[in-house]
Amino acid sequence: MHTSMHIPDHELVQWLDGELAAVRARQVRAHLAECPQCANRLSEMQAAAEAFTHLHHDAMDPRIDMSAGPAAKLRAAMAEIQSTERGDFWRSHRYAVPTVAAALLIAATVYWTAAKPAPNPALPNASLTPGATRMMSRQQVCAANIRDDDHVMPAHLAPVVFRSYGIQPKPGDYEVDYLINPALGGADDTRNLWPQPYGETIWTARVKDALEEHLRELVCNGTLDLATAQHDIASNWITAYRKYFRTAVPLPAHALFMKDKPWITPTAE
Amino acid sequence: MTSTYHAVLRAYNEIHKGDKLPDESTRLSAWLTIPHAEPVTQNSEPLASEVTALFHEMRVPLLRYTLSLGLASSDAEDIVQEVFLALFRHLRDGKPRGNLRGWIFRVGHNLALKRREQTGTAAEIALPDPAPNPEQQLIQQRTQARLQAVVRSLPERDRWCLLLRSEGLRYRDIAATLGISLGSVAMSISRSLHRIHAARERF
Repeated sequence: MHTSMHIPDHELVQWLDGELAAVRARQVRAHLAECPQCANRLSEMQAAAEAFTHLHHDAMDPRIDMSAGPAAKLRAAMAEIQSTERGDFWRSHRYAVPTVAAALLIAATVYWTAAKPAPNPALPNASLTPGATRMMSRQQVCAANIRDDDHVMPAHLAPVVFRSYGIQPKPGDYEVDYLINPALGGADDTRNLWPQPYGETIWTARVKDALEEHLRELVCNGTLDLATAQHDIASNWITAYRKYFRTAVPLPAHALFMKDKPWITPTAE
Repeated sequence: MTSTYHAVLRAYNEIHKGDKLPDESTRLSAWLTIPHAEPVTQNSEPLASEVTALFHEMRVPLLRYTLSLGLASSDAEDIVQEVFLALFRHLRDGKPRGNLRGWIFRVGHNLALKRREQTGTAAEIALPDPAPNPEQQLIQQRTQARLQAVVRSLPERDRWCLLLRSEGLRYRDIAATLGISLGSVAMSISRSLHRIHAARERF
C-alpha cells in the first residue's frame, strides 16, 4: 500500500509546494497523518526552505531601490515606444488592416454596384448563358451546308430561357438567340440561348449574324480554328465583332440590314 | 461592415453639414482619409497600465533573482526594465498572455545570464547589510554565513531552482525557465533542501 510506504523527499517537497497531483496528494496526506517520521522530515524540509528564502530575501532586499524611479522610467519608455510607433500606421494597426480592407471592399462594391451601368442587353448573362457546343469537327461544320436559317430552335426551350432570365416577354420584344450559332457548332441547349431584346442597342441580332457568318468563313478557309471562334463569340460577341471586323461600331451594311429578311452572307470586308 | 461604412459616412456628413453635397465618390474617398489612428493607439494606454501593474507586483522578485545571479544592482535594474519593455511589446503584438509570471522570469533569467557573460561578473551570494539590532545581527550573521556556505556549494542549476521557488514560481515555470523537466525540479529542490537542513543540524 502506498500510504504505508515512506514518502520520498522529492514528493514531500511537492506536497509542501502543492505540486502533487490530487490523487497522490490524498495518499501523502493520509500517510503523513500516521507516520511521524515522514511528518518530521517534512517539517525539516519546510524549515530549510524558509531559512533559504529568508537568507535570499535578507541578502537582496537591501540592494533594491524602492523609490518610484524605476516604475516612472518604465512608463516613460513605454510612452516612447508608443509615440515612435504611432506614426507607423501599418505596423501599429496591422490587426485593423484586414478589417479596414474588408470594409473598403464592401464599400467599394456598394459604390461600384450603384455606379455600374446597366448590363448591355446585347450580351447574355454569362452565368446563365455561357455558351454550349455540339461535338463537331471543323470538317463537319464546313462540309455540311448548314445555314442558321434552316435551323429551327426546339420550341420548348424558349420559355425555359425566359424563365431563367426572369422575363415575361410581350410578343415581339425579344428573340431567343443562340450565343454560339448552330452553323458554328452551337448546341440546342439553354446554356447557349438568351433572350435578345430588339431595338435597345446598335448591337443587334443582325450585327451578330454578320459576325457568325464571318467567323464560319474564317474557320472554313483555315485562318481560324473552330474552338477559338466558338470561344470568342461565346465570351463577348461584341468584342469578337470589333476584333474580327476591326471596327469599334457595327459596320453600316450590318447595322442597317433588315432583320426580317433572311441573312445572306455578303463578303464582309 | 456596411454599417461601419454608413456610421462613418454619417459622422462625416455631420462634420461637413454646411458643405456642398459631395457625390458618392468624394464621400468614399473622404471615408478613406478619415484618420483611423486615434482610437487604436489609445488601446496601448490600458496595456501600459497593465504592464505597470505587473511591474509593481513582479519587479522586486525578479530583481532579487537577477541580483542573485551575480549582477550589479544597476545591471539588474536594467535587465528588469528590459524584461518589462519586452513584455509590453509582447502583449501589444497580441502574443499569448497565459502565465505571464513564468514568462517574466524566463526572459529575465536569459537576459541576466547574457548580461553576466558580457560583464564577466561571477555569481555570488551577497552578504546582507548589517541588521540594526547588534544582538540579532550577530546571530543572523552566524546563521547566514553557514547557509551561504551551503548555498554557494550547490551546483548553480540547483541554486537557480531554489531561488525561483523562493520567488513563488510554480514548478512548471521553473522547469520552463531553466529548460529542465518537472521531475528534475522536484529532485533538485529536495536535494538542496536536504543539504541545507543537514548544515543547520550540524550546528
